[in-house]
Amino acid sequence: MTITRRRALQLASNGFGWLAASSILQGATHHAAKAKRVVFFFMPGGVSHMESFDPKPKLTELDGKPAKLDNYVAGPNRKWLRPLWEFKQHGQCGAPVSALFPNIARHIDDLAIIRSMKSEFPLHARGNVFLHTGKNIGGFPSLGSWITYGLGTLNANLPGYVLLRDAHIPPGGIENFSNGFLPATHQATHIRDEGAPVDHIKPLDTDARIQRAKLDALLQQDRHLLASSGGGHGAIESAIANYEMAYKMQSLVPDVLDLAKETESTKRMYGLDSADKPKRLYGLQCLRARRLLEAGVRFVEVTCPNLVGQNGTWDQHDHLTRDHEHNAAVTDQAIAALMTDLKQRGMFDDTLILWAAEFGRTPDTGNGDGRDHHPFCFSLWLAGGGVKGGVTHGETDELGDQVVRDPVTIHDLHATMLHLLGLNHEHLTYRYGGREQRLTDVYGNIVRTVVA
Amino acid sequence: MIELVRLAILFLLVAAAAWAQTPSAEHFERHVRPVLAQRCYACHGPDKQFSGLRVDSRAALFDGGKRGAVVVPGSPESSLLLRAIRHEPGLTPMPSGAGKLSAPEIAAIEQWIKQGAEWPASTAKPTEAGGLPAWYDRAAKTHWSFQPVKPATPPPGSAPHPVDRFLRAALAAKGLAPARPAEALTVIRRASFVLTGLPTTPAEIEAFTQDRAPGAFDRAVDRLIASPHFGEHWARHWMDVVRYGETRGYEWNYEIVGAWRYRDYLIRAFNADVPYNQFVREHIAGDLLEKPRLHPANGLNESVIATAFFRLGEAGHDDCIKFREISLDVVDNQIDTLGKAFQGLTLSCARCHDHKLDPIPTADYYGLFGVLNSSRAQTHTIDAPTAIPAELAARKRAVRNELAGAWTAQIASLELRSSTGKTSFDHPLFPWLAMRPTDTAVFAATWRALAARYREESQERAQFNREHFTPYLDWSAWSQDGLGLRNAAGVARAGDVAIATEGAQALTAILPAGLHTNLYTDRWNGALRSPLLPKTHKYLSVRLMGGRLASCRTVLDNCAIGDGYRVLENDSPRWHRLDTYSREKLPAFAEIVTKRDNPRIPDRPRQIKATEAEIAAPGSYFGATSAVLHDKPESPREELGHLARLFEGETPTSLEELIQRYRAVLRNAIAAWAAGRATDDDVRWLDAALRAGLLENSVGPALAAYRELEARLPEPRTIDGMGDAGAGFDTPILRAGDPHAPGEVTPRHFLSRIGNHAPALNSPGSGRRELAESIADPANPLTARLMVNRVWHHVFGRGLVPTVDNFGREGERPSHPQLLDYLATRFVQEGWSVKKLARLLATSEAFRQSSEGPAPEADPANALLHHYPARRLAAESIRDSMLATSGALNRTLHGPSIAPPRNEPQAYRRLFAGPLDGQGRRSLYTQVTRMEGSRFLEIFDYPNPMAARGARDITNVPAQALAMMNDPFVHEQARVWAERLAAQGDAQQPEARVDAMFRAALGRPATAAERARFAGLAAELASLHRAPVNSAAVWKDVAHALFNLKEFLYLR
Repeated sequence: MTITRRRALQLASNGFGWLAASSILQGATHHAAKAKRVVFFFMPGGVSHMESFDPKPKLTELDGKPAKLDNYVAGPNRKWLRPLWEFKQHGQCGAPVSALFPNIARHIDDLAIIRSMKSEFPLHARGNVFLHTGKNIGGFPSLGSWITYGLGTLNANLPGYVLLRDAHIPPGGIENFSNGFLPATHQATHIRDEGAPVDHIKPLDTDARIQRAKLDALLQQDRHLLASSGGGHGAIESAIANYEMAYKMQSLVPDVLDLAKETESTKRMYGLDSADKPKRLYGLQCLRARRLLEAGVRFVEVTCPNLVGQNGTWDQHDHLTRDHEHNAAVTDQAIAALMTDLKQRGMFDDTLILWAAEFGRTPDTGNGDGRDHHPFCFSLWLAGGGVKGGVTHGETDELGDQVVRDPVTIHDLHATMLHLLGLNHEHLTYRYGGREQRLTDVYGNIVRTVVA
Repeated sequence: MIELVRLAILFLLVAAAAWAQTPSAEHFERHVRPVLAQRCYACHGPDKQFSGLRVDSRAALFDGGKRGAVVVPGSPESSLLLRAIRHEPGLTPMPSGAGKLSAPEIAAIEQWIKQGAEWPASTAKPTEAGGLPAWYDRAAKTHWSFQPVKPATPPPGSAPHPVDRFLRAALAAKGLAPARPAEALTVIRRASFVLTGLPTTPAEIEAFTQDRAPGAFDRAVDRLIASPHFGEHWARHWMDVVRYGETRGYEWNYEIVGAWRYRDYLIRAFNADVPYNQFVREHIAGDLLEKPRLHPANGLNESVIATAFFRLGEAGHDDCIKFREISLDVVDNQIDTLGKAFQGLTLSCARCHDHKLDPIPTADYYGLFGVLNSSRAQTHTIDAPTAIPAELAARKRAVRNELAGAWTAQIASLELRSSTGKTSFDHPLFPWLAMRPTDTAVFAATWRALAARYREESQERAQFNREHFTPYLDWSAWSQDGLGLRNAAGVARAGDVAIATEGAQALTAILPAGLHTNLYTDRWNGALRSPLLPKTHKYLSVRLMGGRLASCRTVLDNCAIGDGYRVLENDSPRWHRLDTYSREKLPAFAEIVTKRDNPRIPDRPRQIKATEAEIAAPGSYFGATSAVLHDKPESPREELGHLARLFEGETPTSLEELIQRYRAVLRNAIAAWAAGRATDDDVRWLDAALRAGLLENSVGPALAAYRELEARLPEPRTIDGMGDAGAGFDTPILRAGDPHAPGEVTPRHFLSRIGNHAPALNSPGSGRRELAESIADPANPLTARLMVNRVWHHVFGRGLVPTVDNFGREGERPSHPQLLDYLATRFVQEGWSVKKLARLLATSEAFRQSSEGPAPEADPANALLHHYPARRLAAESIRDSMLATSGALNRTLHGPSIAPPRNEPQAYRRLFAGPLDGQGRRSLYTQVTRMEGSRFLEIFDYPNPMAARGARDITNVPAQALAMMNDPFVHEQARVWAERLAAQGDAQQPEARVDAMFRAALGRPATAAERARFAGLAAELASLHRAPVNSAAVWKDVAHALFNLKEFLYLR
């Protein structure tokens, strides 16, 4: 039944809101949902798992000795590299977290850490697109698009999928955030950290009355055209309605992004007072994320500030010490602040939180202070709506090279997230290119351990 | 729910057990899956699901049907599936209405369930020959688009136009009638957008309204089709079909060399009405045509340009051995685009398994894969065959003569000198340097010892080279492209010279015999490509020289932008070693190229030492003298034969005598050179002397004359396309698409079940030439129908087959099958002329009917065209209309693309920012960048160039209203328009101005009510702006309001 309705709406892209077509589907989940919105902290470039959530004391022992891994970077000059940051146990669950993330560590009893993630390629573009779409090439819908397609909107005046980003697009480009073959309403709306945050939302007219005068005249003209046509112009009718909606959105969206109503202490909690500009901007985006979630945006994704010429914020083939340290300093406080904030507002329990990169980093190094791409195992965490806190799922070998217990694929991650949102990943489909397409393709198993 | 959870947990256990390929997986593949496939899928598979049950995937099977799960792993007795095939009581015996499975088959399924019912992921394997689904033949024989085109005659009727006769018959059958004719100005505006993508010009409206004779509209259509903007508009339509992009996306977004030249090719082709079958041939095999089509004016090789079609997709730069998928995905994208663009088939669905919906076995996919894998991703030079400019050659000779004179005069008093200490025989001055400190007393003895050392080393080197190297083919077996190599332009005799095109020196080098791109000018390009490298040796060494970002590399598996090339930075020859990848079965060839022929340049940051200016500057060159194969890592050693003349003859007894010997050797070399009979040994002497500064190498009058002419030579034009070299080869089927699971080798062929039936594609190269013919064949049931339908789609807003890229069984059926076949037949008969077809459709009454009126219940989707479908203009037309209306439209055709405006350019990803108005050029000249494209155009459904898309989405969302309200481009164009109006003077009354603006924007006069409405707006705006009513500020806002009218944005 649900599927039939969805199918019927696939072509109905005329809309009165950002997500008009699918908004009718609100509440049309496959089963009871534990979470109704998502925030995804995307860590492009690849965070080192053995320096975040998967301690490997063995590497301290082996530090500097020749490494003999049989993988794509294997070579005579590889050496084991000890974890560069100390781990400490946190919370009641006692899960270890590295010194890079002291603030996230305060929430440890709410985190479900997966240490046994596996991806397929040690390549950024493929890894990013795979993490987002379940496919390693472009042209497919992103997780956020699938979810807004599946669940509809909570606020028809706002986009369903919002991307909070800086000026740099991560490898894989716009494909990471694309609606693919789903209707365009499901693509990410980009909100930038500097300059005008959203395209076209700020009127260029010097006086609001000027814009209103123009709109009144042109819509009057449009309605006259419509009335005199005697039917057959449904698209024009929708377009007229879109103008009224757009007019309202000009104030709605800035209102949502406006921090004037936030207290100084809230702003400080997010690091908006930091002397470090990237940290300030990341804090701003996280605080905006909370406001967007609060206002009814279904899926909010936050990327990290990038460094020019690099292939992702966390891509430290060299300068690992300096740049992982800085990236953690930029992100840790604001992420933890957002979690605290959601808890204080009673939203934590129905907001699903994902912290993930496209892959981890190698336990060995080619140059002393750097690590390379490692899709064979890596760590991420989930928290919030429906997630069992204080859990660590999966295990890697003592070197942090391979998964030895409970491997989890990107498809499994997606299946689990959809499950928590009340969607069956095998039934969330869209007919395209001759088949029922799924986010999880023909794969995906729900990771029950992390489900509360 | 609990059941589901339990099953899911079970899956996890099963899945965990199945990570490795186990004996039970093998059992499943051999004994269970085939039985399920052959006996059960027909009713419980992709096509039909009786009782809601599918048994063609693990998930489907375990989900079960209406009666729940049918397989309980580990428990055969409680598995409904087993009980049904055993014909146990209480269950419908299965397979229904067919024979019971054999006892061994049932036992195999029982064993499988008992062992845990493992269903290995990703082992879906292509059926071997003979094992194809039974419905393949049926589908091939019955599906409409696979049957030959049947000539049809228009049904009887009163309509004069054949298209109308077909349409009206279909309408009448449903009790419907066409709409009344639309107003003349509405139709001319419609025709202008449909045919040229631009609004009607005032001149066209004038011509049309003045033409009172019958047939005025047809004549207007003719004028529009003859407009050069026709080609632009239809080129853009086609660019959607071929996923046109100018950068490669992925991580670093490399630029696709010369992609925009392909866009210009399309414009010219549609304007010249190149027959569509020729157009198809050029796309698929333009490099292989016996008679390439040349540009009538400048001789550009049009046919070759079209092969860029294959190269416009996304591509990664990484190592193609470590990441085989990179090259496989590129080919898959080529097959996908080829299939959708020319045949309306989703061929790439057959990459991992036989096509589930159309009769396309996986073997067909790999039959085509072999063709593309045998072809070569290469950068073509598309210039006309260029003769060596006689004047340039003459001026070059003058330089040489000037130098010959100078050197001959110099030689008597030549002093040896050397700025650096030479420590080996590789430099001819080394013996002199070695002997310089020697006492005369022991001079002769020391010399004899040195000579002995020389002879020993010379023999050693020669012997080493004899022992370890196998000569590789001579240059005639290599492909030679580029102005500098074509037509033997690069064949140098020993002693030819390369002239420095800038700087203080006259010569870059005195050349050894070989192939040299810079025999006449650095500006000419070159690409020297080996045949497929033999796998008999590990290395190929090539003796090369070159500079200005020329490079050499091995291209493995067509990884055109794969990692690894070496920039040549030596003006004297040196051996360069390349890997043959003999351990890999993948095809590899060696490539030595100038800068513009290297698809990796401009490279990403920190890959090469070159500034943007150096990369942009003209000029790049290389020379090649010989090539050898070998297994030891060391390349050949430079031989020393040229020094023999120094050590021959009487032993010198003093340094002075030795210097005399040097003078004699050089004098002889110069004499030989001046007489045009220099040998490679002479060249080594002369080149060394030149580099040591012994010989005059400075700028004289002849050189200035040469350079003056050289600087005026046009740069060669290059484009990434497809080439062929040598024999093609067949490739194995990859099981489940897995590069590490090669199966049976499939001969190269095209569709075995559809159309012409598996034409073999095997002579003598890749097979693309035959592939092109097979598709361009009038007997191919898909080619003409598909194109006719594309044209119909653009003229009427909806295809006769709405799924314009899918004519397979998943696509929709034609609304008017006879009409489609009538048009397809006529299209072929009229010489595959797109213009004639477009004219035929645009001159029908159906095209001229009104878009208004209620939608009848009998046909709510308007499939029968009871009125003309109103629709939003495409992104480009919206932008172009604003430019045309404001007067800012620059109607220039062709040329390099203009970067879209961006707030955040990222130069390191080739994402540059262009001017807000795009220089006033039409939108099809906006650069199509992957990773991030034009934000304005994308809001209006401008496609993301990832796959063929012959029909765009037409969405209707508030973001579009916001863009029209607040985009700076829209405001800028409103301002430009207003300033132009203001320049016409203050005298114009507001109502008259409104009328003029309506004519410009909407192609019609304003009614009295409209004049009053917008004059009223102007008055209101004047008070808000506190400005006179005739001020540009006021009219900018009126203009802005008009840009936002639905009548402006919609085609009616």
